[in-house]
Amino acid sequence: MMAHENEDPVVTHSRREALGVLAAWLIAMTYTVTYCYVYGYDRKAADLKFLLGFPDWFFWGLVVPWTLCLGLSWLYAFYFMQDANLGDDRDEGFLDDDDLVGVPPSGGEPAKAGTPTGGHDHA
Amino acid sequence: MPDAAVSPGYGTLTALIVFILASLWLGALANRVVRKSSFVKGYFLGNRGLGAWALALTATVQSGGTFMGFPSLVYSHGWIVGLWIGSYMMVPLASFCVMGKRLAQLSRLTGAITVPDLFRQRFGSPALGLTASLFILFYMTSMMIAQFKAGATVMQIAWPGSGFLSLSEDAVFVGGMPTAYYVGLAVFSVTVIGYTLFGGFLAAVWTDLFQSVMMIIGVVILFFLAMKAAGGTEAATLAAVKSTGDGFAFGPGYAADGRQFLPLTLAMSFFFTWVYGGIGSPSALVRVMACKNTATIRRSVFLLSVYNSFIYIPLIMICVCGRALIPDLPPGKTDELIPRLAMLTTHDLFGGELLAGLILAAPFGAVMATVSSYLVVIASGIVRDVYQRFLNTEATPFELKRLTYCVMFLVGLVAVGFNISPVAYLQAVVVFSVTGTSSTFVVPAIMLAFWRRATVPGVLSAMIVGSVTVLALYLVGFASPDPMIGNITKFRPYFLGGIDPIVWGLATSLLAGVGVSLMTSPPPEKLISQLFDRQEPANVG
Repeated sequence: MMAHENEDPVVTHSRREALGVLAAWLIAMTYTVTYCYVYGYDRKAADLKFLLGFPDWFFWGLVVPWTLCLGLSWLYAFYFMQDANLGDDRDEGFLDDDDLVGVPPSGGEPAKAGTPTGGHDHA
Repeated sequence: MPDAAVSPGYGTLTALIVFILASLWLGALANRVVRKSSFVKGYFLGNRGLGAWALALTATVQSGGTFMGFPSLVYSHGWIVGLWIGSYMMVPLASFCVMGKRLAQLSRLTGAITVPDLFRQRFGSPALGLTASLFILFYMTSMMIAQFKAGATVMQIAWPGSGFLSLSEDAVFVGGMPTAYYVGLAVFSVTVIGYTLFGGFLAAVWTDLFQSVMMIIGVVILFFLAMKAAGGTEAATLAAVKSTGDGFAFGPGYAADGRQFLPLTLAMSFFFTWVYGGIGSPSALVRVMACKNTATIRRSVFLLSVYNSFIYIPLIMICVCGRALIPDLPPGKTDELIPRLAMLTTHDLFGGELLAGLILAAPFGAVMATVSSYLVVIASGIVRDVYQRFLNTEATPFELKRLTYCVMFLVGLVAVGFNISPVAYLQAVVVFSVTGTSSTFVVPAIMLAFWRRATVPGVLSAMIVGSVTVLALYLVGFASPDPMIGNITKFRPYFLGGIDPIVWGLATSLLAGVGVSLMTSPPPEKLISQLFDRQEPANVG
């Protein structure tokens, strides 16, 4: 999925934002699952400690990363994501029947997806 | 601690009826707006006018499971359910930032109104659109049917004199369920089908927004009441540990039968389930397509993050308190924890019945919101993507409207029929539906949005292989002995390598999608250029 020379900036920015989120998800999963597994599994209630009403492993393994993700979403929403013009909404369909894969055009030639021509839509 | 054997009165029912009337009123308002626009785009997509609050609070995967199935898991297994749901910390970012902006753009460029429409238009393939429709119908119908039970149960609880809160069950029974259940099923069904049918997508969104606000109010009220009654989570945890065992406070979770509720492999798996469920849910995708602009998407990310933080972590704390306050719920009754807590913690308060109704509006609203949004997606799948695309391409708006009403009514009837003898495992059905839709749609949607080289056979393979993988693992699981991991349910998958089917479904879908695309001829450059490259302003609209 390499960026194309003449690629629409909306596509480029969206891809970059998507990759950033997927990286954050991977980090969150790795930290949370690892921490909770190491400190929150197969323990005895005798050594249970609480922080702000949560078991200690729950606080550090879930509440803290959850709060960090809340901060990340704020950064994404107000600093990282870029606004873009999404274009006008088409009232008519994007493709003619002749552009559709697997639908024979009126001339009898096998049809392939091709140039969008504005087509029809019965909405 | 409060007495567990209290009975609902008329105040609770009154509060719920007011809530129902408000939802019907919103449906009527939506109908006025829809009548002013083209039927298909107005009824199925709300004319792409969703603002940040509507998008944030309505495009998520909260459902009856959030207030019935999920609390049941916390009650049964303890604090480790926090790790089971932990990936919700990433759901807002994933749902809106991975594909939101791009799908909103593509749906405008192609004029697509539904998710199958988008596949059909992006790839120029009616077969792809039809396949997407069929998968959506299958998974969303199964999820929707399961929700009706939750709706009926809430009404049953609120019914005066139902004797519901008595664990000994002295209520009147008809055909295996208490009479109040069937009354609840009828009231719930007429309400939700009525307002959705009347106002379509906008009715679903507006009532969903209203219900989401009620949900958070309900959770906040119940949080304070439950914490006060149980003496805080620390005392509640220690009491629960005493009546269960050490497992209630730690992983892999307490289980009366000795199973491992959340071994490491499943803990990792559920970080896939909820995040990719958020990305790939067709009802969430269509709401992103309906948003006003990119600023709406940005704000929605933060709004939903805050909202989720106030729903899930407090819910876990409430349910831990619930285990201490109602320690003896039998296995078949644990789905009713939140409604029971609502009644239990309010019945000594001034105006407690009304307050209980307000809290009960949270699960009732969550269920109604899910059913209404799914009804719209299912109806649009049948009417727009099958009937209008394949059976009657010249259908008039009047014919489409009439058919839409018939489809919604019939789908509702089918759901009611299935719930005469209701499904037993609400949360298991929710997980199955989320797993199935994710494995079917996440990889194809990413290919649709970002990969120029994706081909029709590639995307078709990704859809089919992902879905078949999940279905096959569920079929094998159904026939296999209990592996003693995961939730206690007969509706369980086969955990290959101890891992949930979603991981295998996504992996095989990715392999099939990329492999088949690379093995088939590239798509026409002219079509791709129109959707991926800079356009002259005149060509964009």
